[in-house]
Amino acid sequence: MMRLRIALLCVLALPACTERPQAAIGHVLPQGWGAQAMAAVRDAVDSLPASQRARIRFVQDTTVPGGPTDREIEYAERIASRPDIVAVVGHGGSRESLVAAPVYNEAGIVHVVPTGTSRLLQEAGPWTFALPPDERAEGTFLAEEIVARWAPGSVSLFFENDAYGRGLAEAVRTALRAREVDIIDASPMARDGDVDVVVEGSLSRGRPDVIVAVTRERETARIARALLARGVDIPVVAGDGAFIFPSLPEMAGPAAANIWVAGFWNPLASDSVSAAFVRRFRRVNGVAPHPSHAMAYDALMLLVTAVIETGPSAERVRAYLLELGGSRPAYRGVTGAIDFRSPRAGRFVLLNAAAVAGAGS
Amino acid sequence: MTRMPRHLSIRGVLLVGLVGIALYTAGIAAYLVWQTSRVGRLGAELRTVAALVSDLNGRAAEMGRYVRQAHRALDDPDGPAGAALDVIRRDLGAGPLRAQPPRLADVPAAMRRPLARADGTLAQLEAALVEAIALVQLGQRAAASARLLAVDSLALSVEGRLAAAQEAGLEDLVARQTGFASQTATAVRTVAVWGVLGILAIPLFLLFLQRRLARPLERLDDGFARVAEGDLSVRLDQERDDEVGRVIGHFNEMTRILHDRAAQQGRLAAAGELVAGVAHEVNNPLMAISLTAEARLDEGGLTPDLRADLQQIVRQTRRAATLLRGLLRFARPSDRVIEEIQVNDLVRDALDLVSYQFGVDEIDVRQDLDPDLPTVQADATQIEQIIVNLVGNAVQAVRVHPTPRQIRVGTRRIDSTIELIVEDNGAGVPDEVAPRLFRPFYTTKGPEGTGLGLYISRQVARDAGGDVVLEPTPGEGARFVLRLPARRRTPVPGVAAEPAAGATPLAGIRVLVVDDEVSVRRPLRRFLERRGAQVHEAGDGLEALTALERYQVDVILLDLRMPRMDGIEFYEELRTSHPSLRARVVILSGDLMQLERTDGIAIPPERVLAKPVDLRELEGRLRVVAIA
Repeated sequence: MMRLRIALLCVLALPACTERPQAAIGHVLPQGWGAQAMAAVRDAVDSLPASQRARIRFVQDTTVPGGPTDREIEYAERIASRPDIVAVVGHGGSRESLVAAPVYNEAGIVHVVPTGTSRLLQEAGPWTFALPPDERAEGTFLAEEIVARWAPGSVSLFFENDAYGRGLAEAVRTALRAREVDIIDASPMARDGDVDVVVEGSLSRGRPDVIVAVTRERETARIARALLARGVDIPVVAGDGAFIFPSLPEMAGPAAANIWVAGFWNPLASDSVSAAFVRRFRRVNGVAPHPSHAMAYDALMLLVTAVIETGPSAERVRAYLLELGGSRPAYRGVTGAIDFRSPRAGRFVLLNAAAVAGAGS
Repeated sequence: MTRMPRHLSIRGVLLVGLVGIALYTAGIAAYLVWQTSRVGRLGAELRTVAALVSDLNGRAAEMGRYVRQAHRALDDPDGPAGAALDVIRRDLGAGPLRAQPPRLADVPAAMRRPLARADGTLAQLEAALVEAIALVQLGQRAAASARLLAVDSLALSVEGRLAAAQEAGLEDLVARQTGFASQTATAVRTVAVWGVLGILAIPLFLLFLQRRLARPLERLDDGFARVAEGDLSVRLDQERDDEVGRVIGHFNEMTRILHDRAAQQGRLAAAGELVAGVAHEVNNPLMAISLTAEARLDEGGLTPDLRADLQQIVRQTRRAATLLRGLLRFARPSDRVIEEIQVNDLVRDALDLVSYQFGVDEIDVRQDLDPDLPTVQADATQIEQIIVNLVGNAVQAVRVHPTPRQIRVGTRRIDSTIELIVEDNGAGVPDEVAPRLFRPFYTTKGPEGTGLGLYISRQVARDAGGDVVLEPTPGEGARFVLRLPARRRTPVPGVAAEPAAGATPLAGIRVLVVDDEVSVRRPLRRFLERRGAQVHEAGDGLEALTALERYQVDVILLDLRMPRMDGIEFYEELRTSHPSLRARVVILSGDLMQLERTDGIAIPPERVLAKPVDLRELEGRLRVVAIA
């Protein structure tokens, strides 16, 4: 009789024994492009074997770019309070990611930042991993491109007055000065502020050869249009915060030809991984992806791979990320080889908004 | 057999105790470090918050100044305030100056939102001020004025946000202070409890030491003291099988062995006393038989057969006397007397002593004695004991062996060493036994053996500068070798030449024979008188003293064991009564061990004779003493 009871218990417990526990991966990304990136990720996960798919669950929250920082903290606290969360991708840019990072670090949750370049993210905590190279690498790249393409004697600088804008502006300023380029004006800008006034005010103090705009896509487009409206035909070089697709070319209109944007990934790249990602993204979303889509996609798929290989444990996922490039080979993502053992060199590209818009439609 | 209950060894308990002490110490240290680290973290957070708030306050104050400048510039764009706008704009364009970016991870959770809001609002204010300055510099006064109003509003908002952040910081600090005070109280209580536990552990540990170490060691100490006082029956309770328990077990085993050996030694000593007494009693009749036979031989007129019979009687009585002397030497050990001895003689005496076993057990004993063997310097009795022990072991070995049973005893000289070899054709000594053969109390004879024979033999040989070894023997049997350093043979003191038969060599010598045995005195008297001596008799020491008052004597022939006044007492009495006669006393006794009672009185060996005595030797000694 005892043996029968034990056998019955084993049979009842069998499903529990065979079913592996699920891990929840959270993503807190800006509305619009964040959902598009997530759709491509779900499509990729759906193509995995059922046993692997069953281990992953996604938890979503969307942010509004430029919104209040305390709302980012609220999103972070809400997601971190879930007991099944092992990792989070988010939040959007450097500003939002910096205020959310302490929440995830205190909770012991892996936090992967897909598009933040602020060097302060390196000191945000042991659980925070920034995917892009930091602002110093981007600033150097921008300065090199500016000097190589236009050999300017002077540059004016506009920057969004937050952690992203201030950090990248400082990096560009340092790199340009090292190349003996004169910075004749630097002006902070508020998101949704009066760009025309700031541009006009800056031009009244001197006309540069190149304008560097460390601003988001709307401000970048408005800067270019303001210049065009005043008959100033000078290139506007933007940081990675100004997205290429789909809004920037539309927002900039005829001024798009003067806008050059730095990105972490070339949407027109012909390598097989990039091409496969572009095909999937178009099929799922009906539009071509931009670099931020690729970075978010890589961040999410990296965590999916980590959970499949190590299990539903934040500690093991963190260990997995730290082993990349060491005891484990670097992760091959759409944006290149990924590891966190040393500052990421990055594959920067400088893309013309009008040229890419034509190719990506 | 009762099984000893298993206990944790003392070493194990001490190790556990040490580990416990280490954990106790490490635990309290770790706890204190953990508590102080929390204070350290609090300090880091407070510093970060203070830096952030200070930075924000600094920026806000600066912004306030800028805003006022901007208002003044609006009213007077060409004045100094207007000129200052470029400076303000450049400052704002350079970005907020921070020497070191703050670690947001160090900002307490309660302050993150207020600080983030304050920083965001300040950034908006900075950007709005740039726009306002641009409008002022572009001459768009109305737009600039409107923008400055928005700037003022933002400035107020910044003040509010900063105040809220500071208030949140204060509340957080008060909460932390309260928490810290509570943690401190908890830590103090915890440390106090820990300390009390530690203090309680001390008496427990002492109790353990008392029970497991001190008390058993006290019992051991008491046991050893009782053994030292001679009590070999002591047995201690072995309560545990730990280290001390095992020592107690060994102690009990040791005392049991000592007790058994002592009992055996006691039996041997008692037997020795009995043998000594019997030997002495037998010596007198033997002497009487010997004297009577010798006296009869002296008289002459005997048929050849009768003469031969009488000579046989003399030989056998002397042989019996030699055996009895050998028995006495073993039965009553005496102080070592180091003298020059001939080992061959001791071999013969020893073989005589144990010869009765040879016939019974059909043992063929062969002697190969080197006739030119040098003498050695040693105690004859002890060397004879070694030989008896080795021969006895050989007999034990061949007894259980099928015939032929053979023992060979040989002597030889090897350079400056003499060797005595005793070998047999028995089963030999097993390899596993050989290393332990010379250890005390090791025996292969079970309860019959003392385990001391070979051990003592080796010690005696080594004391004499030699050794006893077991030599490997190819084939069967065992071979023991006694080695001793050889000495140059020294001449034996001369004995007076024997006078011719029928002469009166003792003529003119007056002899007092003091012996309680008439059967000894009478034949002695007859012999001495035939040899020309004038003889008086006394039955004990008192009679002898009386006789000395009446007669002059030249030699006193003195027995030792006598009633009323024995030989030793008489000899002592001569010191005061007739001191000159002490040098003329010749001891004639069957129990020479009595001489040990003389307490330092040295009687030269030439004035000591053992019964039964050789009459010719007696005559020679009397002449020497009388003439001297």
